[in-house]
Amino acid sequence: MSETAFPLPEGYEDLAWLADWALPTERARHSKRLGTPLAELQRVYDALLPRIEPAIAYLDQFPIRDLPAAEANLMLLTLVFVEVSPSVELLHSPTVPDGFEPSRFEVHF
Amino acid sequence: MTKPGEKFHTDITTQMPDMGTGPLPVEPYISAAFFEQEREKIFRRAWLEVARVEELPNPGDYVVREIEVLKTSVLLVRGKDGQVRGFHNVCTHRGMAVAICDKGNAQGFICNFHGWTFDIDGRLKGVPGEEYFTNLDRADYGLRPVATDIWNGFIFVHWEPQPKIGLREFLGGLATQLDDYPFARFNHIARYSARVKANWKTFIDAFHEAYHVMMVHRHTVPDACAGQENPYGLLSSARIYGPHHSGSVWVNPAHTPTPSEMLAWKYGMSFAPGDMVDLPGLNPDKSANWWFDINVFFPNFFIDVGPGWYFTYNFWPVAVDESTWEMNIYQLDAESAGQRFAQEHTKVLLRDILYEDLSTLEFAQKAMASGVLKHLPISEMEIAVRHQLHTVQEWVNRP
Repeated sequence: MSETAFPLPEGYEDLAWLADWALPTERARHSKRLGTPLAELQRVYDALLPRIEPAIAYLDQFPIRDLPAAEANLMLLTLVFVEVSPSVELLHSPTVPDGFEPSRFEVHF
Repeated sequence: MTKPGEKFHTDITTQMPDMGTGPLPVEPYISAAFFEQEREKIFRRAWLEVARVEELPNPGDYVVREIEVLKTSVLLVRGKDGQVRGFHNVCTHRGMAVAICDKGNAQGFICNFHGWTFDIDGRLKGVPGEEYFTNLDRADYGLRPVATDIWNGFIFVHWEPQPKIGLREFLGGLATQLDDYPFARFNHIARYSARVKANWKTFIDAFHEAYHVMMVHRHTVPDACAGQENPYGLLSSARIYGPHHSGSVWVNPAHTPTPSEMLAWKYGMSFAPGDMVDLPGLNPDKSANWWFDINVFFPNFFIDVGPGWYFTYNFWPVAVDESTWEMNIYQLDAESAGQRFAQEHTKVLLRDILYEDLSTLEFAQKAMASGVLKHLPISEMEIAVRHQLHTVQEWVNRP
């Protein structure tokens, strides 16, 4: 584990550039997605997609309610993958095309 | 199974009221006078869902719900005896709110106007300067109770102090259908809300048919509940229980999953169509190709149940052309990282789908109000829309 403000488990340190995405709530991750260009969302998605299965296999060795700091960060990155996945896989846009105005749609937590 | 060349139909497995087949009038969706009747004859006469018991786990826990259509604020609080009680959030002195925050834990409530204090069971406990009041009997000035009852963890309130029909009787066959669904085993994973310039029925009607899916959801799940056998997304089966109804949404077996969907289903359940997880209360008619059930409790509450997740909608009228909406999503308790990942997939996909659902309402409401349309042609695919208005008219026409 490296001595950074954003520790990640061994073998996942290369994902440290995603530290800004590792936000603790869906509300914050969604807000970040809405403000990020599609090309960048694609880059986040591509970096995480091949890591999800090994990351979850690794994380499943720990109790879900008590993850150590580095493991908790890795868990958050798997949730970041979920947040960006509709934009990349379905919408081809940070926002929902022809959808309701995001500023009027409240995500509570 | 529908044979080639045969039309797909919704299997209606309960008695159907005579609702006709003609177009629906636009007037009830745009008339302010009709809206006032709905307030008096529907919202002041029905049990209304306002919270779940998990929001108030401990004695003293409370939540406040602004119910604009009833022109009141309701305070729900769990007493020392464990019972959940409802009160009008109104000081009995001069009407100020006694709970200012929308939730919390309290030993009692103190009015910020003149400092009257109330116990969590509603009793008036303290009156500063009581000796200056003439013949004030504290027993007469407890918080005003609101009739409150619970079914399966869902807390309902009723405007009438002594409702003529109890909650369980009111919920009828729809509650029976869901009595054994294990609501208590779920995590609350999301809450979304919005205020929309649309009539509450315009709003609700966008959520209890699947005919709209291939167009409104063209960017998210266009092929999920329409396909070769059922090209327009008819419900597989439907049930009518007095004012309430329930429909089972058909799933397209040829739906193409995305990489994230496949991952979610590898570890848990997702809103995206996937495997059946057998839980009591699901798919009551054992329809083939089942996705989820849309359960609509009259007048304004939905519990949509699926394989390992459920979500609720509360649609609240504000004015004839304005409503608020709240959605809560729940999924079976996550015991592993993979299940936590799957929970996230359910809510993120649903949330993006909801942006689409909310996109048609304001235009449609304005168009109806313009007078361009006098009536709406409604198909067999939209039977729940017909039943909702049929019930609204029946209640409004009562003495």
